[in-house]
Amino acid sequence: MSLNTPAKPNAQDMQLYQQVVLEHNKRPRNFCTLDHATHKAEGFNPICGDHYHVNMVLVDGVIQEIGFQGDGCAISKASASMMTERLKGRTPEEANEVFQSFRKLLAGKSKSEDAEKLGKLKIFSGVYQFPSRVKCAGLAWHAAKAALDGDQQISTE
Amino acid sequence: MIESVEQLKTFFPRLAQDPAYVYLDTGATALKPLPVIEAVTRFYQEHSASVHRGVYADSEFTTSLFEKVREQVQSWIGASQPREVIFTSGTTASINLVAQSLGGEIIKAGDAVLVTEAEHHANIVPWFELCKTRNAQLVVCKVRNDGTLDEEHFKTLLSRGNVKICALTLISNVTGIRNPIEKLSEIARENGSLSVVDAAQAMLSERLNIEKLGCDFLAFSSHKMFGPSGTGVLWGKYKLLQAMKPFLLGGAMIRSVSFERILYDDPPGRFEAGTPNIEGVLGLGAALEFMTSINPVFWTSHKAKLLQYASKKLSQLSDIKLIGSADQKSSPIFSFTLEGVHPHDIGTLLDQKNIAVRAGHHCAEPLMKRFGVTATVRASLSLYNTTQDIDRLIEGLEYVREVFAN
Repeated sequence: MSLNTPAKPNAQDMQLYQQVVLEHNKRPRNFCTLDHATHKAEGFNPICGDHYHVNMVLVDGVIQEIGFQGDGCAISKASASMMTERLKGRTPEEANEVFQSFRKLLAGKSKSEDAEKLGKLKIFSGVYQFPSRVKCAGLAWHAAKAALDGDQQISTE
Repeated sequence: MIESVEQLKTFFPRLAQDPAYVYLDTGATALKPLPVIEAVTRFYQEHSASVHRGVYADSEFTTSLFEKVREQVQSWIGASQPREVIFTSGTTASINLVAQSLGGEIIKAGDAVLVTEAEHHANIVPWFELCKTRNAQLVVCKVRNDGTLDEEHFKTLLSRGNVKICALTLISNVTGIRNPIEKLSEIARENGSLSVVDAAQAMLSERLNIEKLGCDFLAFSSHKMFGPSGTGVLWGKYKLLQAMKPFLLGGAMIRSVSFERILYDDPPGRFEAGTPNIEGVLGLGAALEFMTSINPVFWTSHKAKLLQYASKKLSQLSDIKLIGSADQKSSPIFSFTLEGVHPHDIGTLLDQKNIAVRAGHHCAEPLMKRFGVTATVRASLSLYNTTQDIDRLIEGLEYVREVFAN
């Protein structure tokens, strides 16, 4: 048996470009700048040019509003869009939990029950089979975390 | 003699293993033919030994094969002596060697080094740092909208009289367009400048002739010409090499070592510190023999056929924007954007159709910026590609459109 031939992803994992992803790429949710943002950060992947600004308005310790602007590949944009839907209404602590859980999913290290808890986001469970695209899927999330941590900018390199 | 693409393909196990694989990334690295694989394996299995120092049979044998490759390279590029051929770890290492060893000697404050907008990072970054260290100026020659070098701008920059080194690509890894090095090196020389040529992308495109090119240094990599990775060549005029300080320091490049005094070897040994990538060099030799066995008429005509067919097919797509004009290409390398879809997505979707292309900035960020893009898809073809491969690419792009149409 050869250990050296690359494993081909299974059919399900291959479906990176499922309807949901394409939909969120075409019509991204919360795709806007928030002028009154209390927290913001910029995320940039210099290798491919994915570039997003993530803005949030926190009121009484809750992410009341969240928006993102920028451009990039379909994976990065869809992930950013779904992220904003997921994080709206959450506390920074809850947001961090989702972030850690999503990171595990992107690394292919998620248990099935944790993946289920991610709901729609589990559509990215196959991304780990495409290591060069993991950074795309995680970009806006790293920017959001940076915004909550008070950092202004992150780069994937 | 290899006379057809069907015959050529039989030499490439990766293609025999999967006849439906469409490999369009030779610009990144070439697939490997059996003679190269066998030369490397034979070394490991039958005569594994170090070079230049052993006194037993395997070492003598390996050393003689190794030095024979030096002569093969000399012959392939038309150099006047094998001493001018230095084995390095690749084009990047070769350029770093010249920037440090030559640049370090001759570049003074107020001097300039010229690069172009179309250079690969390997032929920008070493010069950038050299200029910073020596308080010299990095001047940048523009390219025109069709991707060709602006020769008038080149002449203007040289006429200022302070350019001492011109670092020029022979064929762009993004556009496949060839610089007229023959002309440019002469202009450089007339204005007191040496020229260093990055030939990495050219080795499968044309048979080089150092005399005709007229440059002072030339760099290329084994892995882009069917050979193993981790090996490359720096060719330089012997007179210039003799005057250069060593680059990497250590064993093999010395004549004698004591704690009081170290005497360095002459070129090429002076620039070959440590144990070389022996299997890489032997593989390069096998690659050159393989290339010699390809009928030059087939080579030229097949390359032209691919260039023409791909140019025609891609020009029929209204939502494709090519970087650099197809008319100006010497080599079948096509970088493009597709309206409404990011290159990364195109690359991944084409991969799902068993088509390998590159997506990104191709280590040429300044050129991307010049053409107003952050990233492109690049399809780079070679002798083992066919017109059917191009058809598959076109079909693949249609698939991409369908996915994104929903």
